Amino acid sequence: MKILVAVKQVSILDDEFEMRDDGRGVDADFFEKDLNEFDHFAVEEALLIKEAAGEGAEVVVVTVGDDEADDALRTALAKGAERGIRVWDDSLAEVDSIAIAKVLAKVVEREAPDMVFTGAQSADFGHATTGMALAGLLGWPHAAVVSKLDFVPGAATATLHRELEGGLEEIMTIQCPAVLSIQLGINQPRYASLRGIRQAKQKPVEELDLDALGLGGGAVTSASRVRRMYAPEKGQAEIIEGTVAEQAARLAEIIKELRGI
Amino acid sequence: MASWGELPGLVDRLLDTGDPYAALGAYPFAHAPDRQALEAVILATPRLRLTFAAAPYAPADLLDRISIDADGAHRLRLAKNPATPPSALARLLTGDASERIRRYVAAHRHADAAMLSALAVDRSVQVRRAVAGNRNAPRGVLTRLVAEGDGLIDRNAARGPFAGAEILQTLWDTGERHVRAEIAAHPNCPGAVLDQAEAMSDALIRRKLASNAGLGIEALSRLLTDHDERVRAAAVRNPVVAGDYLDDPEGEPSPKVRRIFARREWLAAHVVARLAADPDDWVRRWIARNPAVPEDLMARLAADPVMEVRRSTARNPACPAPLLTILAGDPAAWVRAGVALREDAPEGAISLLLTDEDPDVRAALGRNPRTPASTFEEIARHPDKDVRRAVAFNRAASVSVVALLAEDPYPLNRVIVAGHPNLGRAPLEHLLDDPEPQVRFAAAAQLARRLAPPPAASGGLHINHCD
Repeated sequence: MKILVAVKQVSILDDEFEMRDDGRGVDADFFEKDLNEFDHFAVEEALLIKEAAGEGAEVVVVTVGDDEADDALRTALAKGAERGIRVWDDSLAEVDSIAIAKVLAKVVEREAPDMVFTGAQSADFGHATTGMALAGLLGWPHAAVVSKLDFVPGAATATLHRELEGGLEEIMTIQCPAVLSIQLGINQPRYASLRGIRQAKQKPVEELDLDALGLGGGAVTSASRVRRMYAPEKGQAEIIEGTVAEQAARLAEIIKELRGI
Repeated sequence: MASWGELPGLVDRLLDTGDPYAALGAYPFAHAPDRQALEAVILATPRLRLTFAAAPYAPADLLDRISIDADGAHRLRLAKNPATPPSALARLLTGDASERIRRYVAAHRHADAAMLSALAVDRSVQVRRAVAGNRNAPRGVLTRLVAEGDGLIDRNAARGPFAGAEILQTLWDTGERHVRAEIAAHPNCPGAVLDQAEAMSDALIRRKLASNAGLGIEALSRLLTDHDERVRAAAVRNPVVAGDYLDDPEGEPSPKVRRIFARREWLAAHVVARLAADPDDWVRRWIARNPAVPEDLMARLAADPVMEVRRSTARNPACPAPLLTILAGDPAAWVRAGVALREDAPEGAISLLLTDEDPDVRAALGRNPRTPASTFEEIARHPDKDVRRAVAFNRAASVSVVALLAEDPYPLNRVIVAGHPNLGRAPLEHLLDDPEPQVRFAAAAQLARRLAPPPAASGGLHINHCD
């Protein structure tokens, strides 16, 4: 039994930041990188299933990213995943989530897992599309925002709960293998032990380029591109003081300013 | 005990590893030449410079160093950082400082009188308002600002500790109700204004007046019978009200006021008795913690149907030993945990609790120095990280138990145990290689602290602790 968990190293912005000169992203000096919070829950869910299944079960983590993304994989490996896969090519820099899904689909074909987990979304861009696009490319069933999961390895179906609007909860059965995007709070992610962290350094991380996945020659392109990123100007607030007449006069002044009168 | 001669050895090791967080931990304890070398590691990249410029745990000398060649982003972070020293703040104001930076410096707790005097004539009213709100603003500066007649400046100035009677009188005469309320609470408020405030129909002003510790007992005793419960509550809370004046809440209709009575010390016996029988749970919760409660009433509160009242009794320093033993067998774990926290709990109570598996009770035992060493080890291996952390806080935890926690999977537990006096040299050095930067910082700080000489024997060494 094998569960493949797609993880991402996300950017965590400082309170104060500056944009890059090209205006399409934040200057790298102004953010830290860390494993996506949602992915901690996806990894934990896979580990719980593996531990309940006993011997022969395997959790494999995969990421698309440059060598800095190894930290995200090592974090998951330290918690108990068996091995990692990192796919990178400079042409993948700043591609959209659909392009990432194309890469992941090839990894899934190669690994043939019994189930694929992703986080419900990434904490930095929040597209929430990678898992859905991956399922579409594979032709697999998909369930998003899974808040509870009952899956016995080898079973033809899994039962899961999904959170809906208005506090509703949906219980559904899904054919396996499937792609599930995992919601925060589905479990309590563990902290890696120091021993686990040391062992993670020895665990195998396979590095693949696009050619190795049969995706060379410009086969992976984005369907969308970021044109501009900026922080909108913040609204202004003013406490109007004075007598009622003074307050009314100031209010009229503000209305005139806003309407350009 | 290692000698001072070993601190340079630690610095060499930190320089070799190039770890900025461990270097930062040792920085306040290092000699000046070593500090320069450590700065090269701590500030090695633009990202690190930005991180530490904003870090409230960064030593003042390091922030001063960053301010010397700071660009716009660094300057803004330094201006917002509460640990930035006056020397660095003064440097931020040189040249063409932006309005944001001037505003943050004007509000900074380390801004001195000279800076505030200069900023008090700033062209931006936002900056001048920030100066008026700074608790270091001297009287002369406040006088100048109040002359502007800006409502927000007035409100800020009315709170300033250095606002004198003359400024307060001026503001009272011209200010709106919130300004007047601040003046009524000010320790420098002129006597005539205090009298006027007491006669005001606005409850906000009377409430603030009732909180003024400079108010006479006669005025306060009148405010104790005010028709507004918030005014009475403020008067009961006022430390000037004591002894016979803290009398008899029998006719007090407001449970909110009775709750404050129950929190006051030196209550008369009949007041304590009445509060202990109060129908409001919160009144009984507060009085159950009051050391003035006699043993017979304490026994009644220990049997209260509300669990939180029994918990308060267990936490009362005057709770007698036999009652603690009874509470150690309480059906509510939160009450038993209250007993387990007590260093003065009788042997019988501690013995009863040692077999208690509830996480709150285990955590409380973990904090209690009277807990047997064998139980400490069990608690240090508890599956709940918060329970294990209790032992890390316990100064009585043995060398072996503390070493166990140095391997804890939860990083915060390792951070705390790095500062434990019983953590041995070897596990502490091992934490210098921890995957978590916070742990490496704490371990390096603790090692350097141990290796540095006591300040009195340092021969002029300046140790600049993190602010």
